[in-house]
Amino acid sequence: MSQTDPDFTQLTELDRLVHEPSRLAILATLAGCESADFQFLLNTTGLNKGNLSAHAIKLEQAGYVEVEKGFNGKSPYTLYKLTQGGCEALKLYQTQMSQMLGQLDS
Amino acid sequence: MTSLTTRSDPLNKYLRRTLRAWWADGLWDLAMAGFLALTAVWLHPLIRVMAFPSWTWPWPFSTQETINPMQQEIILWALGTLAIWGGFAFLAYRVVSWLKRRFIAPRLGDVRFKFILPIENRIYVIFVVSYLLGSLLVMGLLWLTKGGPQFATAFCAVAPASLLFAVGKIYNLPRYQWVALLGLGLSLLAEFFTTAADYMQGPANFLDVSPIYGNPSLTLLVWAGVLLVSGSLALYQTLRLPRVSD
Repeated sequence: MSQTDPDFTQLTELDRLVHEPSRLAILATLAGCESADFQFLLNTTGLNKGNLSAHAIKLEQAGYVEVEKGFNGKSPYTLYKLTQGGCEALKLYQTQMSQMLGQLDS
Repeated sequence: MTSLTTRSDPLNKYLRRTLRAWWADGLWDLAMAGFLALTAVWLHPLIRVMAFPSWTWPWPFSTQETINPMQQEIILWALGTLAIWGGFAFLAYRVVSWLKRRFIAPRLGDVRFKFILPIENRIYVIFVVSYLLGSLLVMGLLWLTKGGPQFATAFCAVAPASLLFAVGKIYNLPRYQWVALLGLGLSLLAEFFTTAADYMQGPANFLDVSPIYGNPSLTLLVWAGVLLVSGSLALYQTLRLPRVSD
């Protein structure tokens, strides 16, 4: 491989949990706020309730998202918050993708 | 090859969509209107004392002595501006956040923001560039029509317009671009159609201050009015949306 050829070996180093488009949308949405509830994530990401719930569980299990459940009067609410780990994973993913896309451009 | 890195970053698209929620419902407009009105009222005596340094302060400050711009009251009044701004900003943040949770969240979902929003640098660039260009234009117009530099008035007219223009452009809120044009136009009209007071020695006291002489406070009040209307309309539209359950 010549020096100017893009290095696609980095693709295998991407965090697959973040790379999946629906989860990436959830993480990017949460990166802009302190926390957001299920309804707001539904509106912003365009996912359906089942998909959003499943992806949120995976992100929670990975420690990228924190979930807070409670009641506001009689109404239940579920708040999602990006953790420090989630924030770092998202930044790393963005850096890796920018580098690879930069190589394609040059 | 088309540049991939200069395309709209999909991550930024989601980030902006989230931040857009802070402005979209109109509550921020109302808070900003309050901030500008308070600033106008608070700075009014200070502006007058800079323009006419021969009137007296109201109670509880000394009412007999002629103002010397170096007096402690003036310094305290000016420093008080920072405290007023800080206090109002914090209070407005708490009130707006509570109102969003109470009235907006049942319709659009609950999204909570930190006191300092994670705003991207591009917005500052657009703000500074549009502010510099706008200020040059406005000061040129004021110089031609009224004479004199009128820096403070130009700042008060152009700064809110630049901020709204930048926010509207980055966060896809066309309403703000219209509001920026309308506010700038109205505040300049107010400025052009007011003339100097006939007492060039200055008003006798705080109550005798003319509200309309080449005064940045007037510009700020016009802006507050424009944002009040804009915020009320946006809030009305948001509150008409049906409530959804979690």
